[in-house]
Amino acid sequence: MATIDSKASGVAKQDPLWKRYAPGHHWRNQDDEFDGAKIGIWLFLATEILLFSGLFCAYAVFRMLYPESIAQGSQYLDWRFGFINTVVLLISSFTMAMAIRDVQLNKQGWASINLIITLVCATGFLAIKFAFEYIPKWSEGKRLGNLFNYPYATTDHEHVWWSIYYMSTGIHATHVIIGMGLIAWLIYRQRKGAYGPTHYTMMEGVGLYWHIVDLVWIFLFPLLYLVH
Amino acid sequence: MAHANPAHPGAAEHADAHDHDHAHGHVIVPWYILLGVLLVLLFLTGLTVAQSQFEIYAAEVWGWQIPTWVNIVLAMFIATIKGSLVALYFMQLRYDKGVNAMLFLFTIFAVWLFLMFTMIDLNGRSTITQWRGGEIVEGGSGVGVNREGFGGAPIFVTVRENYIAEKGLTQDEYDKKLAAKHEKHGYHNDANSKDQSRVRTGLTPGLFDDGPWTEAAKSEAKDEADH
Amino acid sequence: MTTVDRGLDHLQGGHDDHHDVPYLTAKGGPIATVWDWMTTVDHKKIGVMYLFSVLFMFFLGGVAALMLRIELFEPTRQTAAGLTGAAFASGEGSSVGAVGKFYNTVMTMHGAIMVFMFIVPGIPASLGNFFLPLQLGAKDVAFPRMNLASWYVYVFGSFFGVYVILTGGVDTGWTFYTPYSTSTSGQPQVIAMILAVFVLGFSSIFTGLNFIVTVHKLRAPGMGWFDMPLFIWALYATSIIQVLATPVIGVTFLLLLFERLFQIGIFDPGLGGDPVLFQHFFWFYSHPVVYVMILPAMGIISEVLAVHSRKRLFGYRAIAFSSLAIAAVSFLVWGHHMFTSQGELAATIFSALTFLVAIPTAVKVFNWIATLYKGSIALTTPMLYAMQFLFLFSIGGLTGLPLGALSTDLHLHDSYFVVAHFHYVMFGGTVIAFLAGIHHWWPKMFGRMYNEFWAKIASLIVFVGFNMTFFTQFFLGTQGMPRRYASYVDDFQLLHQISTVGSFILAAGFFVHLFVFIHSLVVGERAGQNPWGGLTLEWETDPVPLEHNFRHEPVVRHGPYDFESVVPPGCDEKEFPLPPKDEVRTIH
Repeated sequence: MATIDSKASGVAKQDPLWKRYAPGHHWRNQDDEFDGAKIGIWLFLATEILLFSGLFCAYAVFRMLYPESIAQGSQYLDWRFGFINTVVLLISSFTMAMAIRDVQLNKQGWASINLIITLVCATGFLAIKFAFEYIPKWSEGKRLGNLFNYPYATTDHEHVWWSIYYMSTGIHATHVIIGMGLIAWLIYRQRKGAYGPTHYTMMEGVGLYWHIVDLVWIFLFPLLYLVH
Repeated sequence: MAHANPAHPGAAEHADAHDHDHAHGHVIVPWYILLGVLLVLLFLTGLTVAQSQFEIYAAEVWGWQIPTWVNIVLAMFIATIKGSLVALYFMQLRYDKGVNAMLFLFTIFAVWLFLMFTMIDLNGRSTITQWRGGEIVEGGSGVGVNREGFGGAPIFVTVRENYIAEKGLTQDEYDKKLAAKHEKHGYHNDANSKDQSRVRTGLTPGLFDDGPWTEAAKSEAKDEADH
Repeated sequence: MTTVDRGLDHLQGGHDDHHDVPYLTAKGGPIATVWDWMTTVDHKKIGVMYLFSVLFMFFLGGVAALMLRIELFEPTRQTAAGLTGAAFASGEGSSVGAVGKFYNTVMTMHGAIMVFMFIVPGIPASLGNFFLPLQLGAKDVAFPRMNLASWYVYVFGSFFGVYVILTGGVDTGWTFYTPYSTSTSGQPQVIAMILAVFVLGFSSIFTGLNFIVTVHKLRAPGMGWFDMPLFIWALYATSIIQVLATPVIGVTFLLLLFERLFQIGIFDPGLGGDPVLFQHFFWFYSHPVVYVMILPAMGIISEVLAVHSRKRLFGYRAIAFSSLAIAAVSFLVWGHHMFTSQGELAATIFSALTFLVAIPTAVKVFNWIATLYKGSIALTTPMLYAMQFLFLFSIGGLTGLPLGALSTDLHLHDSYFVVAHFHYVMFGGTVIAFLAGIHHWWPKMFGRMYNEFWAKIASLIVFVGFNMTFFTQFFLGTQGMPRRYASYVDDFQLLHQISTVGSFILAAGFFVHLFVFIHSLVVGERAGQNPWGGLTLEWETDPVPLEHNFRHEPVVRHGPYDFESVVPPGCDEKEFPLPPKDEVRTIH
């Protein structure tokens, strides 16, 4: 990746980074590189989907084995927080798609704004998750597996429910945190002028990743909060 | 590689010229489509919450017991629509090269296989044939055998007893608290006894009627069945 | 012939001359050379580094195997204790005693190392990495830095494995079934081993992802999908499995890690978890992954048989599609590992589906045999190994059928029959094909020939040793010898002793190979560009490939197996004469 000092060289008008991008030596041209990168990202998303499929599988199995514990467990969750979080994530997904569109049209200012909104939404998601869900529940003793210590439980396998809840939302939250790091990196690089109409592979990749995080939550939300 | 992109030798002079700066062949999705999709997604989110709340409402106010499967099928149906919208428009599968869409569908197919076969097995595991013998309690009994000081009772019972002893509560006081804690849980599965988890034992009916059993084993099985 | 945008190459002012040197050329002093190798993004160097890494792990796993065989020389548990001292793994508080625990530990280490650190990355990451871009006519894999990351991740994961060995090992069994993996062995070792498998999954995914994109986007001009060598088809199918199956082992071992650390009760039956769920999770990965092990081996065999019998492969498309079919079917049959633990309905379905695997596999074997028919067979070392593969893999495949059948499996389950079957497929299949591939491509990788006579002797020793070791185990299994046991009834002793002696003959064969390789590297005769007369693109480059693989981007003008009509690149017609034109009958 090139390093530039556009401000230092006042001699000639410097192109932004994205215009000076040249593909790796083994690619025939930039379009091939973009297409290849996109297939690569989709393959990575396939691994993400299968990773979460394990958690969905565990959920389904324990739902069949211990239906009343799972039903009781979902009663402990307040659908309003799940609902707000869904809205927040959907909006962030939208702004991410808009940011890519802005970069494609070279509207750098708007792209920056949209990326920042995305990052704010992601932070909001985590804040709600921790402030209203994880911390209160954990301190009440609604914990996973053998750490379970909630005296007002009424069904046999509530600790299994909490295991599923913490593992699935926890792995999802980890993905949100990783996504936040990536978006922050995008904001930094975007301000340096790294992305533009002919070169925005990184934006596209992070965008797709962010949408898959959203997609997983779209399924987690009804399964954990609404179905009983 | 810091040199100028040689494919566009004149790009520096025409920073705003569209014929050089557009993304080659990449689709730019119009903003109104993206916004429209977002609004539909928000609407569907509201809808899925509404349908789950309606079930509770109907149970409390009108006394309707809507079967549980309605709830889950509806919720998953709406979630699938939402997921498809995200994949098609936000992730641009609709406009993208076919290979990516194929890959995505392949992945979904693998997930489906994974879930389906595991579910088939789970359903079939409740059929336990006589010749395997013994009493098999499926999925264990939730007893905390691995935890210090838990003398064979289910975890939640021990937690509760410890708590009562620690706070010095009477059973009545505890029951009141318990009721208060669960007050807001509008919907309970108690009415739906089909959904209770249960100890599943026994044999497939008729499987070994003419099996190569000894007489002793047959009469033993008969005794068990009688009890 | 497709037209391809040559892109920027011609505009960038010709080639960089310093890349036109053989990739093995040292860059300055020893430190600079080591640094160059450690930071390289050249797929060839990464392939070579992978080759030596996996062979090292193969050595470690092999030592463990020999220790098992020594212990099993006698029916009672004593030999291993005398050999090593029980200090290695203290069995205090263990119900199986010190020797039993030691045996379990060695057995686990043998399985885990061989499966996760040798045979899964084995062929794709070493030979595949080296030859996939070369055979496609590409300059590198699609994501070279990710390729290097894959190797580092592999080394990092294997480091955990070695750490576990040095600190006493784990005795959970290589499948990490709960509740073994939640209750036995020391805490840090089990966690380290779980992390090792988790981390190694990433390296596997990186390799697979890279290969798929490379095949899609970086084929040479003129190379359509059906002009690709069959090794590429096999690697492509392998990569699909790697990408789709490996994440499931990731989440499984993540949950297992939490189960071990916090007892979350998802897999642990003592807390209401479901141990059979763990088995489903585990085999959803681990069954497809046995095809990750065998498919590249099948690809190598396709190459070797065609080149060394100088004959067009019979049924090119059938072999190509059967690779994809195996990849597809591999996701439908995992339940046949669980016939005794899952419900009967699922077991019946899985048993029926298992037989589907036999179809594409048999298609391949028949096509290979038809390829040999009336070929001009040269009995070189790779060819000897390829023929051994046909023989051993057929035995392995056919003994799989009674194991796939639900009724016979209930008798043979967890017996030595399974062990023998598995080793005939994995050792007689994959490792033998790996050896065929190494010998086939050794001249291209290192630019030197090896001593053909001693290599052939070694291959015969391996063949004899292998069959002595594992053929006996079929009999042991049918007679009721259970797997994973340190002691057994006296009646089995003779067969066990034959097996143990065989394992040492096998090891001796490998040591002969080792000396042949070292001899070749030090004083081997310089190899030509194309010693076997192959037609795939890797034989078009220099004897030792250049840093950027080819002097000019190759253009594909003939199929990979047109032996009847094309003089091999770099060879003259006297060496590899073409048949008279009127005798050529092409069979596709």
